[in-house]
Amino acid sequence: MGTDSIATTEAILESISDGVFTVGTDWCITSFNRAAEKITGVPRDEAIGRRCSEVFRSSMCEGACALGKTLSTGKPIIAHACYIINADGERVPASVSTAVLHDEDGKVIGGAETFRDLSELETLRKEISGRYSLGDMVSHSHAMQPVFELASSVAASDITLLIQGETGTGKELLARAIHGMSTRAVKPFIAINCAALPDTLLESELFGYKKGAFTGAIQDKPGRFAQAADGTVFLDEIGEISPALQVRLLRVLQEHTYEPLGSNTTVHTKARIIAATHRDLPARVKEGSFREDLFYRINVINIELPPLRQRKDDLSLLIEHFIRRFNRIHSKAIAGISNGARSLLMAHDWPGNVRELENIIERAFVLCTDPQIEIKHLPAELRGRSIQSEGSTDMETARRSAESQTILAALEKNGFNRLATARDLNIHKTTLYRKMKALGLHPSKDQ
Amino acid sequence: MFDVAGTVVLMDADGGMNTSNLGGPADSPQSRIAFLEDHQVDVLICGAISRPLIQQAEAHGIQVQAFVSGEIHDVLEAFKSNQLDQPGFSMPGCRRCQRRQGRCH
Repeated sequence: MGTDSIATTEAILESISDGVFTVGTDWCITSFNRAAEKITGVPRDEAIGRRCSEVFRSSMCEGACALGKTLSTGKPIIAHACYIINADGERVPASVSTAVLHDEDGKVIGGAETFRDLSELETLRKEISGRYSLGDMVSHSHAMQPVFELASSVAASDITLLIQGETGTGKELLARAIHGMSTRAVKPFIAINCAALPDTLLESELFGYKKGAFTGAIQDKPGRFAQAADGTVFLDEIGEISPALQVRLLRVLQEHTYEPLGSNTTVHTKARIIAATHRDLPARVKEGSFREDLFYRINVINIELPPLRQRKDDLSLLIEHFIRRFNRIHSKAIAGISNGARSLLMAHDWPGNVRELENIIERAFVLCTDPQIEIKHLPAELRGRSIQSEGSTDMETARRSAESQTILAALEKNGFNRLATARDLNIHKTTLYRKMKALGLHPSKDQ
Repeated sequence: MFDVAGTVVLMDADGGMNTSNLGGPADSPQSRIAFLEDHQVDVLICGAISRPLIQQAEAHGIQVQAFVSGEIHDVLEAFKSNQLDQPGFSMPGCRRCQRRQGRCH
């Protein structure tokens, strides 16, 4: 190859967005283009001369080397999926292709590997499918992504967690999902609502009691910590427990020990604790009703679940999720929800969050004998909104409801053609898309 | 890469070593951390490792010396003599100071 030809090849390699490197027969890197530097985070001068597995760091390097296969079989590999670990420790999804390099006499002098960073493609794919799930929780809302990411990253640890969120946002579901992803997944998950029991009963429930500890204690009873063993104890509504019980819980968190009621024997617990509350715990610490030391013990990692009104773009997904589930439970075949009913649900403020939505859909299932859920299957307080224009006291809700209903009606009229709908509404199509996104509208012809 | 590594060499305080099966590439990364915890590993010395796995190991009280390069014998000798932060033991692109902190970022 002439000097000009080599220069041209190098210029091309430098200009493309795919990473390219070549290795000699000793597996040491002989060339490394600009894109390879960018994708791996390894500067060329550090890469050249090092073994390719130290630089490329792909999931195939351990026993399934693509270049190794190509060099041994002589056959190229095209677009093989894998991931690499870049210099920042991030997993980068990639596709890899390989080829054998020969000299002018046809002798093998090494191999070439090209690789493409699929991170953006992967992100786009997720955005298009628009669906993420964690345990029994589903979402495509950006508001939930940090929650899912944090929950996934702390699941494997034994760190105590505090989950905060309004009632009905799915605190227990999240705790179960975290337990399910942890190494304790096969161990018990024991949930207890601290607000549901009086203090003395809660204490005996948590720690158990010995026979004769109090009137009616006719035999030993293990508490929830004993039942959990080395599983997970989920303490819901921890903000409601009394100061006396806070002290006992603090000891469990600090020393992993407790004594059942009526017993002098100290019991050791290996259970992981996940606490949850809908209260503003820092405020309760300030006002003196919640111990500061206990707060800091449970607040090692704090996960805040957003209320449903802040993730209304999830409503359609959640409605479909519950319809699928209740079809299974109630052996029905309800196809979906009418646009009118959906519009009313969109306009609601959801003080009871996802649980309220679940209850409303289940109620509709009981009443519904039609192919889809209609306005008449919704509770009277929601139906009243369409008549009263969403209640005169809340302008924002009224506006959202009116916009939802107008857009849905126009979409229906125009056969769900969005361009025609935008023209009909006398707004730009991007405005229509923006409004539909903000209102959480994802209608289609088959609904 | 520790995320998909098939084997691990366990070294005890007396210098005794044995090689153990860590599972296959399809096994979950969490199972690798569980293996280390079950074997009461205090320090993990490895090559490439993803950041979430470093965090998980550290959350289990395991100190991580990540992005280390070199032959096992040389690396262990360097570790024992506190010389692992020498440039010769760094993987390309990973600065010494970062690795000493147990992570590459």
